[in-house]
Amino acid sequence: MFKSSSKSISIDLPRIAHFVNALLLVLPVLFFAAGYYLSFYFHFLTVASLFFLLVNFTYRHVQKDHALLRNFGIIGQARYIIESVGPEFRQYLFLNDREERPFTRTERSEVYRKAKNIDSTGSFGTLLEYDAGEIKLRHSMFPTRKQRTRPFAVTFGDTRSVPRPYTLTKPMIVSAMSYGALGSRAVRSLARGAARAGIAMNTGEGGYPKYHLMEKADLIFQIGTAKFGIRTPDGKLDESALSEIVSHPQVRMLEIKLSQGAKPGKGGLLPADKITPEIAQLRGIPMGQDAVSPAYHEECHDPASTVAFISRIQDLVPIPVGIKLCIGSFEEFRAFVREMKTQDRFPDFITVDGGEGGTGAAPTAFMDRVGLPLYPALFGVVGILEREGIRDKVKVLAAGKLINAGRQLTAFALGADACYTARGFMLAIGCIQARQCGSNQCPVGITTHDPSLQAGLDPEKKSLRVESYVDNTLHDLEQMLVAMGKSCPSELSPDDLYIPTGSSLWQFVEAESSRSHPFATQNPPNSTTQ
Amino acid sequence: MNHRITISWILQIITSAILLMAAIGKLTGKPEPVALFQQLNFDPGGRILIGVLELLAALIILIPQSIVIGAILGWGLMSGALIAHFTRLGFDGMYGLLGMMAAAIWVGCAAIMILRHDQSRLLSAMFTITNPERASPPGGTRDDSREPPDPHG
Repeated sequence: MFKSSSKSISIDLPRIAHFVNALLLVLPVLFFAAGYYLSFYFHFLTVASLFFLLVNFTYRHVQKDHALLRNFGIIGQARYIIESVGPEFRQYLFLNDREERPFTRTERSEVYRKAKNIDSTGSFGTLLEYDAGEIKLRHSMFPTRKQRTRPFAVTFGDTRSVPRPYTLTKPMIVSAMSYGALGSRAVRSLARGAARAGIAMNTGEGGYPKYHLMEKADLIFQIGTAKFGIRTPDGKLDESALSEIVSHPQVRMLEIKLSQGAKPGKGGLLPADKITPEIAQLRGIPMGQDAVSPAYHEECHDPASTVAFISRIQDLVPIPVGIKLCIGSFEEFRAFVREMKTQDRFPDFITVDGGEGGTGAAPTAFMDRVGLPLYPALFGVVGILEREGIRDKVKVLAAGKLINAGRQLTAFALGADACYTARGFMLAIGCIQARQCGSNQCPVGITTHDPSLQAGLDPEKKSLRVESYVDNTLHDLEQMLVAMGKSCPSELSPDDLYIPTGSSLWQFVEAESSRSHPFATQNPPNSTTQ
Repeated sequence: MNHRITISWILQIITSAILLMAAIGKLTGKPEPVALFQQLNFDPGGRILIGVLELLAALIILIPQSIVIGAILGWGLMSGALIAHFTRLGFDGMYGLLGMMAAAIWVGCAAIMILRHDQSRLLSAMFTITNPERASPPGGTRDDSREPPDPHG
């Protein structure tokens, strides 16, 4: 039964398990005898060993779910116990500073230091593999003179002359996280911090932005596929509810979410038991049944109807209206852009969400496999807009892991006008990457509604962290711009990037620079591009 | 599900009350428990120890996070009591009543463990899951913290 081929001492776990199983049969008898003849105190051990004997018996002969427990008994639980603390142990002790995903400890520490306003100077060289696949920025021999730097400003809606255009004065925006995904305290921390830092904040698709509106930040209201907050009972657009939300002076722009990087082409589902009366009211959904967000907007089946839907909303509201999408196929996007030109209606901005985006809880299959990464998608979108001659009509926002100045500058060089980040701000208010966002058990109280877990999150303190994070990141960004000899992020171009062949972006940029069309592979033969 | 929780709470309250009475008797040194423990050659150390543990069990069996632990503790204490009755004390006169009470708590604690087995990994693995829709228990332990995430954004 036991093999002992080697003479060296080794730990044979199955053998230990069999020994324990046999021992558990003997121990209660031994302890009982000791309790009977020696001292009644031994019956404490009798009872304990009886309990474990009982548990072990059911594990081995009653339950049928766990093969490990059936074969080896109670000792088999050790595996489950140790495995259950594995993620924590790996994060605390064993994972290298550059190994964790989605954000390595190096990247997270950088955000923490910025948020806590601690000096982030390093010594003795980079910890990254410098000459590997990562994109680098090209600096200039002649850094920008102080008097030449220009303040950042991007205005939305000016080309369409909307009644209330909006100007961003800082290039960072808090990306879409709804009340529902985040707890109320996290929403208020971020909103208050955004107000302090003077940046805008996206409300996410959580319906009426009750908690966002409690602070003074400029808001970008997101319209999800289920149109939470502005839906009629049968899921159509409720125009009066929309005008009510837009009438708040804080709501500065609208963003229609066509798809999301974490789960492009997939809607969400909020289970009935998680729908509190408050959430039902804010989202405009009934209690007691699952709230299903469809994968698409009811009104949008093809490019024509989608552009029509965008222009319908643009006609309803006095503020800039944009769209958010994760790119799947450039060809589809080009058809969409051509349809805009045909109808002569353009969204005021397009948010390109990289497939690596991820605050939304999503099926792992989608998170892992669907959606183009941000940099190639952004490069392609900007290229198509330029080629179709409408780049000046449409602003481009980028989203997807843009948590530090280096990544943001890369996005600017690829054509973005401003950067969204969600997880950067979550890290700034104390996220420890426990990845429990969907379980309502966020240990730092950000993505939970549990009052005892939210208790640790103080909006006032955390909003200061948000402010420091923005200030210090933008400080980095400005310094790097100076080093690159530029006076404004809009002056950057892909030529300011050093793109190694190991980067997925390389093939796109290379194809572009060698004048062959980078997106030509799927072109129909009669297409009239170039 | 809700019936199970209701029955469990009724049992918890009854069990807790009996345990509390027994614990107070032991800790205040009433003559009956003193005589009983002297007969077991278990006085006063064992009497105080058992009394404290019974008090603890009576309290934590009412606290949502530790109901199952309280039930296991109560079950163990009563197992010991039953061993004492079977081996030394017998069931004559007053000991008959005390033995019956111990047996009642023993059964009650076992029932609580079974009713709430899904709140403890140790216990839940004892049973084959027959009911596929295992809703997470209200006020339960954090044992099921690795549930699949809610697929909502």
